[in-house]
Order: sequence, then structure tokens, then C-alpha cells
Amino acid sequence: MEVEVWQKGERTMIRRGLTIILVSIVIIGGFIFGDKSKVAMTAAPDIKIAVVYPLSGAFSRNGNLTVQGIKAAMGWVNDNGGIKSLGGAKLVPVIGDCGSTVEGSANAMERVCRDPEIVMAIGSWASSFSMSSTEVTERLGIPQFSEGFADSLTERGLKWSFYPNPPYSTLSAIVLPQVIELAKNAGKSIKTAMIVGNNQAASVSFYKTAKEIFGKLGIKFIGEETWAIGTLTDATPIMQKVKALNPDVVVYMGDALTEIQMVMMKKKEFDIKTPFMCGGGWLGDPSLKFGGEYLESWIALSPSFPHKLTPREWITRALAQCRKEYSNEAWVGQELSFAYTMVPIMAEVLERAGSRDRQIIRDTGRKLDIHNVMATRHIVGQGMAFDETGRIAPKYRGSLIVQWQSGRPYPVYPPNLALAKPIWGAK
Amino acid sequence: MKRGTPQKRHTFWKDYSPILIACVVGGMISCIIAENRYLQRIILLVFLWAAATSSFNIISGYGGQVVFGYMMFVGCGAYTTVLLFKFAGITPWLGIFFGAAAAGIVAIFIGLPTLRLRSHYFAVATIAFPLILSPILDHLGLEEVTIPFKGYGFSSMQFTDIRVYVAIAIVLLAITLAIIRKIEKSRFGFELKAIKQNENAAEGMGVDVYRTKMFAFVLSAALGGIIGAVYAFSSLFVLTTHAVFGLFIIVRILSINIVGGLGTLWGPVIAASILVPLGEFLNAEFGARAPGVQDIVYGTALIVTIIFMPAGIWGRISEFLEHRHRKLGGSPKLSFAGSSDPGEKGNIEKKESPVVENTPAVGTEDGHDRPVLQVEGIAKSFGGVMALRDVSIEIPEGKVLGIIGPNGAGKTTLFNVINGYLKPDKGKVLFEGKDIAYLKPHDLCRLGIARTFQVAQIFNKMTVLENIMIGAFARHSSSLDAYAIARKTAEKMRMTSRLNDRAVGLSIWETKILELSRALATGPKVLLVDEPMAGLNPEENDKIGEILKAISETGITVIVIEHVVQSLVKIADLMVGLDEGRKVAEGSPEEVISDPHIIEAYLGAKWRKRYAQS
Amino acid sequence: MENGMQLIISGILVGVSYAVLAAGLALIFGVMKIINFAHASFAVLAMYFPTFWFLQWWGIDPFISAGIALPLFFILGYLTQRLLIERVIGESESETSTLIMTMGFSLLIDNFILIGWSGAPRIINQPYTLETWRVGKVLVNHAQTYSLLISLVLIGGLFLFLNKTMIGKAIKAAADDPEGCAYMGINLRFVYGVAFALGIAITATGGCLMATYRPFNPFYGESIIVILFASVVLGGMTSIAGALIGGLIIGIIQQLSSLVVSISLQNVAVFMIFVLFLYLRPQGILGKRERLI
Repeated sequence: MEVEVWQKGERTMIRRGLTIILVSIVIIGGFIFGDKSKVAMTAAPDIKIAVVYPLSGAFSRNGNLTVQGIKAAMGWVNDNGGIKSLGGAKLVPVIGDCGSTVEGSANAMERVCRDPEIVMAIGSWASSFSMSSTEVTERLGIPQFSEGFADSLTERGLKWSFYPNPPYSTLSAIVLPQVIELAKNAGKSIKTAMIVGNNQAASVSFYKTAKEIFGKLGIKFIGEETWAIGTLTDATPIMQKVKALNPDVVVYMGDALTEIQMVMMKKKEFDIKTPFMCGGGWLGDPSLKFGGEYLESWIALSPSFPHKLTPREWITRALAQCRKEYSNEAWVGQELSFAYTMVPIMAEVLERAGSRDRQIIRDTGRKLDIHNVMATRHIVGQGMAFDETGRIAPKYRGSLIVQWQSGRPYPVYPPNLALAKPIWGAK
Repeated sequence: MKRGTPQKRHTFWKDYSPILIACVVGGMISCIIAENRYLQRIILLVFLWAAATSSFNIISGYGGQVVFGYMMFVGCGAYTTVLLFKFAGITPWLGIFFGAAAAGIVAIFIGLPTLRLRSHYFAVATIAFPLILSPILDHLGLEEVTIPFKGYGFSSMQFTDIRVYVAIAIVLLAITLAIIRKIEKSRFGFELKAIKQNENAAEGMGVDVYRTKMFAFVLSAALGGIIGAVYAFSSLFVLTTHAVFGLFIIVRILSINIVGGLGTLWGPVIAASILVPLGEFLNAEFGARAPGVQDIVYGTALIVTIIFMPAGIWGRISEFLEHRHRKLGGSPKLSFAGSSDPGEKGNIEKKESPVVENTPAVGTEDGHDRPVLQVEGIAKSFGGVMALRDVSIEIPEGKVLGIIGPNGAGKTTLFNVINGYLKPDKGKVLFEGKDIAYLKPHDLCRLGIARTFQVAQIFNKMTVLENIMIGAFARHSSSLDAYAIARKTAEKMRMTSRLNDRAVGLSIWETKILELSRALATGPKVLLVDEPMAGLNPEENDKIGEILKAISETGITVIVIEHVVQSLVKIADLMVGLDEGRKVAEGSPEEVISDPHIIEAYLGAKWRKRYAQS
Repeated sequence: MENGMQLIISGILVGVSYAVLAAGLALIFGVMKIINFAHASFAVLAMYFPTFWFLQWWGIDPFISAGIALPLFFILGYLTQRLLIERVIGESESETSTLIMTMGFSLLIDNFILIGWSGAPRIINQPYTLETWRVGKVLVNHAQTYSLLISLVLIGGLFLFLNKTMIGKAIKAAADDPEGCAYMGINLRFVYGVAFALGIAITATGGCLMATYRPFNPFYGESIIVILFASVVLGGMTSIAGALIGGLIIGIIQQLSSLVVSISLQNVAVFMIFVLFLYLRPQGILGKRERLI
């Protein structure tokens, strides 16, 4: 039977459709089967390190800054002879983007770690992203370093991850009593406190510790205002409460820049004099530079911020690298300096392991115990060792107090690392 | 038709084997890629998103009610299962059923009020719920819940080898697809289709619209809950409110469903196979330089598909296949075990009156004149307008009653009251002695009151056969029975040659016959016909009149609203005249049309003279 | 008690910004029965361009940018309607189709902003951004107050346009009875185009105003689109005046809820009220109950 099966319009459409499908198959096929590793055939092949951070989405700034810091730190290692025990091999980052979902961060780590030449991994800034990416490296048997300080990270019994920064519970235990001291030295005594901030997992554990520690020191919490990160539309009611309750200090936890800005603005607007102390190193973020005067005397705790013993070169490298590829930052803050708590240590581990075998590297890392060497310059405790959960050993745990003075943040504690003297309360 | 007969088994395989094959192939591919964990993960995600989209498809595609807040169910399922596992040690294999139950209960709770709303209200309403639950969970400290690692093992659904998860996902997908296939062929599926196209007509043809929608909604939700739970265990490692309640979930599911084809079986599978890897690919290649490129692609895909290919990929393909199938003279796609092909190719004998024999399921009453339907003291007003005032009519069984009156007299309103679309402010409607004034149209249809509409409410995208089947489903729950009845009715109404044509392409005459056929297929005792002659020429008017007369001779009481009084008078046994919501005349046709009220309000002196002479 | 007073004042100020955006949404829905999922995204786009961009490069004050945004987004809205949305109106499932299409728009716009300006939250720092007047014990922000005044002018202008100009009346007619309009020789496509353009223009200007006192990021639209839906539904889906009232009420509820519940649940309160209205009174405060048949 003679039947015109396809009409002209349909024919073109089918042709178009088929072409699109074919092209997609080719692209996806190439992606799947193509060789992605560009190994430069030098004397000693490069050491590939997976670097997985949120480069797009809500945390893109944090992720990007951390990655730029990592590149700068690796650059420093490479320019100083690379890993000598492996023939001067250079560190090479293989970068993956978490996107903005937990699924995305696991995807990214899986994708990057397809390459069997990956020897170690670093990631992923946000606690939920770090949790999923470390689960991936755990199953793959790849040692991963993470800057995360949520206590929940180390409660899982993972064997392959390393956390060179102290957990929140410790950070607060170190810093909070110091804050009381500071106030005392300024002639003020703290009797009441209030909590303001978001209710992310990390924040919540911080509040918990704050309540315990302050409680022991006889300080009463008279109010708590928390919100889900990203949902703060107007800081007015909160700052209302702060003004009304008038605590001696506010414990603030928030690292969404938008929200910080809102709170900051309202604090100034309402002329609230209560000192704010923050549980996050975001306070040092240079993007806050416009708000200098509003942040006067705000305190933050941070395990990673350029201090007296941080090598100058590291700082200039980080700024230059960042300027080259991402943005022109006014100074190095927490994110840009995170790399220096991790990469030099990783280089040291590789150096001592003398091998590309992941198991050996992991074992070497867990056995590490060093102090007062170049690699530990940026670490507050000036030393590094890991306990059985992979967390920095208690003896080396420490935290900085960073304070905003005259339009810039400075570390003001501990005294051996301070770049300025602490003050209490704005005028 | 006994179970397990060879024909029935044959159909079973024909229906379900494609699903089986697709899943086996998917499983095999995943095994072939063996070592590569990343690719296995992609495949896992493809199957999971395909399954999630398929279950979403049940209410949104097949049911036509797009649920923008679908992540509510995914999240409920995930959270229930994980929390039970973490705090009560309940194995996820059991937990997923609790998750499904939680999602289902939430769906009932959400659906109770929202399903009564029009579709766009519904769509917007459902989004509010995950936005309410999410902050509450955050506030309770559940923003981030680690899934405790209790060692690799079956009981905790934690496996090193991703392929095990792939297998689970394949099974989930297969189950979902099988459920959808079953729905497609069942009464439930037909009812959903009818609701999607014309809710009011479906209601009038005996479909309990609300309950059907609710069932689809709950089913969709429960499946979504299971899939959400499996998603958490297999891909997430840590459960955050954003991961399972986030907006990106509905964006992805909707994109996949639209691109694949809403309301198609294979659409979600095909689209997931394309969009998920494509998104990953884009993220990998361009994620750092151009963040958000994945969503730009999804957004563009949505816009382009909606404009150029609203039926989606599979929708377009199946339209094309059907078109070609028909052109080549093939038998209809709809075949049930034991049926023969209605391949009649006769000319449309539309000018000959069909002979209506005893339609099935008509009650055999003795033909004495007791009123089958009684309207007593009905009053109805809209705003300040009294559409009906104290209308009382007795309608004897098996007769043809004609209702006439000028526009705005309240005729259609009266029908709406009798039929259940409107509730009267006052008065009773007694059907076989019982007050039915407050029953819903679908209940009334099943009791035996059927209706056609002033503006024909046919299901445009369904075939003639399917339209009539909807009517048949009012009394028969098996698709086979409905099919048989529909064919029989179509034969009687001489519509056999048009059985497989889409209802939208019918002429006015054919449309009206279709509406009548559909109404007859419901096996009514009373048939309400609203202005059947509108748009027909005089010859056709008489034909329709003859049909209606023939229908009444089988025992069905026919009530006809008509303006073409000439033709009505020839077939009516009784007539009633309405004006401004009041009954102003009643009796034999001659009495009514010569009633001075009627003449003045409606007919004019000229006509009266003419009739007086004939 | 002045705590409550302060909250009510803040609520009004925030509510007005919702109201302006919601008015645009109600206009679009009332005339064309389109639920514009991308509505808030257009507002956010306006925050970046022209507001942020002009301020950064040429130091142009945001309030002036708001004036520029009005005609700019009018054109953008008109083109969007004529070139894209028009293609799917009028088909049987157009309500869902347009919703999906506008969802596609929101994805495009939000991510275009992300690529262009990165995800870092932005802030306008003009003198009036942080200054307040003291009225008794209540503090009133300068920028918000200026925005309020300009919003009032904007809304007044909208009502004048709809009621006094030929086109405005044509729009109202098209909302009531599109078929009748067609018979009367009114070019429906043109009218729809203008209606959509008008809705978008108002939203964009509203967005510029919002930018003067609060930080914004590419995905801010996501957070407020459902609040806008809630405002429109609360007020009665086809009523612009209703949407204005709805927006105000929601703004006030949002702020006042912090007296009763933790601020993390402020939106929960809003959405619960939204849902309640849908249950009990879907036609909202000023809308009309729809007949089924």
C-alpha cells in the first residue's frame, strides 16, 4: 500500500531531532570515554589532588576563595622543589564543583576521583558537602583533608579523613573564656548574653557549647533568635529584641553575607552598643570592607586568619593567585587562608610517605606529629597531629580571636600571634 | 473471561514486557561499566530521577493536576525513613514503607481542601507545604541529619557497590512503570484522562472526580516517598532539608516530565536518560567557569519544549506512530483480550435514524405512569438574581418531557439542579421517591440520571470509543465490559465507523450523537438533553427527535430543553413552559404552546395562528 | 508596646514592597490568567540591572535607576509576551503551560544573573540606606520611607492608567471578557502585551526600590515568589487592590509573628495563613467566587 508515511514538515523535524540526539550521544560519549587527564610527561609525574568545593550557587564565593588559596599554596610547594621524596613531583589540583546540592558534591567527588591517579583529596567547605564528599572518598579509600569544624564530621567513625581545624566545641571552649577576660580587662563584667544567628548544624553546636561554657562562668542567656539560613528578610524584629533585652554580649553565628549585612546595618541603625561576638571567621571577609565602621569592635573566632607567624610570602601568593583568576581581594581572610592549614601539612605527609600509595599516605598522615616547622606556621597551635577520628590532636588545638578595628580585622589573641591589641565595645 | 486464559496472558506480556526489557537492559549496561563508580552513580541517578518523575507523572501528567509542591512527599519519605533508622534502629527496608505511609497521609491532608480548587490554584497551593515544613524541621535542629554508618550490609541499606543501589532503583522504576501501565488500561486511568480533559463532563458521567483525583494524588505521593528514602540512602550520605525539600527537585522533575511528555509512560524515562547525564556533563565541563549553566539548560529545555513540542518527546513520537498506524489502516491500539477488531469501513450513515433497541441495564418497570422524577418547590438564586422560583414538576416514567421557555428562564439551571451540579436553595428533587437534591452529579449518574450539555462537553482528545467507555464505566468497573458496552452502544447509534477517531474532529451531528451515546452507555433511567437541536438543520432536527423518541420507547424517561419548538412538539408527550424562573404552563404540547403566557413571552402571535391552522 | 509599634511600621514598609510586586502579579493573572513564576526574578534582575550596574559604573542613584527601569522593563515584558508567551496562550492546557514556561524564565533569569554578577550578595550603600528617623521610640529607615512614597506614586499611576486611558480600559475589558473584546475590534494580542509589560515594569521598579535598603543575590526571587503568590491569593487572585492589601498584610504578619514565634518560623506563619485562605476562602478578600459551570 502506497502511503505517504512522513509529511515534509515532519521529515525535517525528525531529521532535526535525530541530529540533536546523535550530537548529544557523541558529546556525552566523548565525555564518558574521553581521556580527561592531561598528564604532562615530566621527569616525575604530577601528584594529582582532587579539589571539590562549591564553585557555583549560594556558596560560590567561599568555595572559590578556598580553591584560590589551595592553588596558591600548591604553587608555593611546587616552587620550593615539590615533593622531594617523590622526585620533586609537583602538586596538581583537579577541580570539581559541588554546585549547591548535597547530591552535587558527592557527584563531583565521584567524578573527579574516577582518575586512579588521584592520590589525595580536599573539600568541601560546607559541612553537608564535606560530609557527602568524605563519604565518597572513604568508600574509594582516598585520604581527604577538610577544613570543616562541625563536630558531627568526626562522629561518623571514618578512617580516611583529616580535619586540621579544631571542632566548634573546642574553638568555643578556648575563645569564650578569653572574651570574658577581655571584657574584664576593659572594666566590664558580663552577666547576660543573647544568641542571634542561623540554625545550621555548625551554628547549633556552637550555641550549645557557648551555653555550656558561659553557664559555667555564671553568665545567663536571656534570649535566642535563630532563623534558617537564607530566610532572613528583615533583621528589624531581631535587633528590636536585642535592643529591648540589652544583653552584655551577643553571641552571633551567621555566615551568609546577606544576613550579616542586614544585621550589621540594623545594629548601626538602631544604635545598639552591645558588643557582638561571632562564631565564624567570615568576619574577616574582605567583602565586608565597606562596612568598616559598622563592624567596629566586632569579635570573631577563627582557626585560620593571617597572624604574626604566618609567612608573608604565603599571603602575597594567595592575593596574587586570587587576583589572577577570581577577584581582587583587599586582604586575606579565613577562606583564602584555609589552604595553609591543609596543603603544607599534606605536602609534609607526602614527603614522609615517599609513596603514591593511598593506604601508605593515609597511615603516614595518621601517625604524623610535627611542630614548629614551616608546614605548621599558619596553624594556631604551631603543630599538627591527628587523633583516631582524624581530628587535630587536642594538644595542638587553638583558635584566634579576630577583631575589627578601624575598618580592618586583626588577630588580637593569642598574644604570640596577635597583630593588634584587643578592645571592648564600640564607642 | 476467566483469569489466566491464553489471551489474557498474552496481553499481560504485551503490556508489561517492554518495561521488563528496558529495565534489564539498563541493569546490563550498569554491569558492563563495572569498575567505574562515577558512571554507575550517574546511571543510579538516572533511574532514581526517572522513577521519581514517573510517580510524579501519575497525578500531574495522567491526572492533569501539576503538583508544584511534590518535594513535600520526597522529603517526608526520606526524613521518616532516615529518622526511624537513626533513632529507632528500624531497617530502611521496613522504613521505606513507613515513609510511603507518611507521604500518603500528608497527601490526604493536603489534598482534602486543595483538590477542590481549580488546577492553577492547586498548583500554587501545594508549593506552600514544603515551605512550611522545611523551616520547622530546621528549627527542630533537623536541618542536617547524618545517616549513621552502621557498617556495610543489607539490613542498613548501605552498600559499597553502587550497582546494588542501581538494582534497587531499577526495581523501583519497574514497579512504578508497571503501576502506570496498569492504570492506563484500567477504569481508573480512563477516569483520570476524562477528568484531565473535562472535569465537569466527567463528573456528569459518573466519575467521582474528587475521589479519583485523591487516589491518584496519594498513590503518587506514596511512591514519591519511597523513592525519596532510597535517594537519601543511596546518593546523599547526609540528609539536609535542602536536599529533599529544595526547589531544585521540582524544577528537575518538571523539566524531565515536560521534555519527556506529561502523561506518557516512557517520557520520563527517556528524558531522564538525556537530561540527567547532560546536566552532569555541563556541570563538569562548565560548572566552574559558568556556574548555573545546568539550570539554564533546564530552563531553556522547558521553554523550547512547551512552545514547540508540548506533548514532549515521547508524546510526539507516539502521536506520530499512531498517525502512521492509522494511515496504514491498522487496528486500534486499544485492544482487550477477547475483543475483535471493529474494522468496519462503512460510510457514515448519518442521515438514517439509528434504531435504538433495549439498551442494557435499564430497569424493567411496568409502564404505569408513576412519576420517576419529581421536582418540588425548587428555588435557586445567584447573587441577587432568582433563577428558579418555586418550580414543581412531576415527570412520569418512560415519557418524553419537553421544557421550553425564553432565554434566562432557568431551564439549564433546572437541569443543573436535577443533575447535581447545583444545590437548590429550597425544595426537593425526588428520584424514585428519594430526595436527591444534595447528591453529587457522579452519584446521580450512577443512580440513573444522565445528561447531555448545551455546549457539547466531549472529551476532545479521546477517541469516540473512549468517550463512550467513560459513560459505560459508570456501571461497570472492568475495562473489558466497558469496552463491550461502548461498542454495542456505538453500533446502535451507528457510530461504529468513527470509533477510533478523535472526538475533536467530529461534525456537529456526530458530536451530538456521541454525547447521547455516552450518556446512554451509563445505563440511565432518566436522560436530560439540553438543546440537542442547536446548530442542526431542520432535517437533522427531526432525526434527533426520532432518536429521542426511540430512546424513550425503551423505557428511559427523556427530558428535553429545546428552542426549536416545532420539532419538540412532534415528539413530546408532555411539555412544561418556564419563564423568569417560574413554571407558567404545563400539560400536553398543544395545551402548553397555546398557553397565553408562553405565547406572549416567547412565540409570538404569528406562530400560534399557524399551528391553529395545522 | 512600642516594640509592637516598631514591628507594625517595619511590617508596613516591607509589606509595601511586597504589595507593589504582587500588584504586577495580580495584573498579569487577572488579565491573562497567567501565573508568572518568574515574577520575582524580573524584580531581582532589575536590582542588578540597571540599579547595581548603573551605580557601580556611573554612580547613578538607585531611585533614578528605578525610573529608568520602568520603560526598560516595559519593553522587555512586552517582547516576552509577544514573542514567547503568546505562543502558548489559548490552548487547552494553557494555564499549566504558561506556568511551566514562566518557570523556565525564572531559571534563565536567575542563572543569567549568577553568571553575570556571581553569587556574592550585593548591597547598595547610599547615605539613606542606613539612616533613620526617630519617631518617638520607633525608628524609621530613610530608604524604606522614600521607597514607600515612590511606591504610592507608582500604584496611583497604575490605577490612573487602568481607569483613565483608552488602553487601560481595554486591559480591564480584556480581563472581564476577552471574547467580547475581540468582537469589539480590540487587538487582544496587543492588549495582552501591554498588560504583561505593565506588570513587569511595575515589578521591576519595585525591585529597584527594594534594592535601596536590603542586600540581594541572584536567587532572592526564589525566596519571595511564594510570598507574592500568597499576597495575590490573599487579596483575591484577580484583584489588584486585593494584591496590594494582601502584600501589606503579609508584610505585617511576617514582622509581628516574631512576637509569638522564633524568627525562623516567620514565613511558616505566612504560608499557614495562605493555606488557610485557600481552604476557607479561595477567592481571597476581594475576589469573586468562580462558578463551576
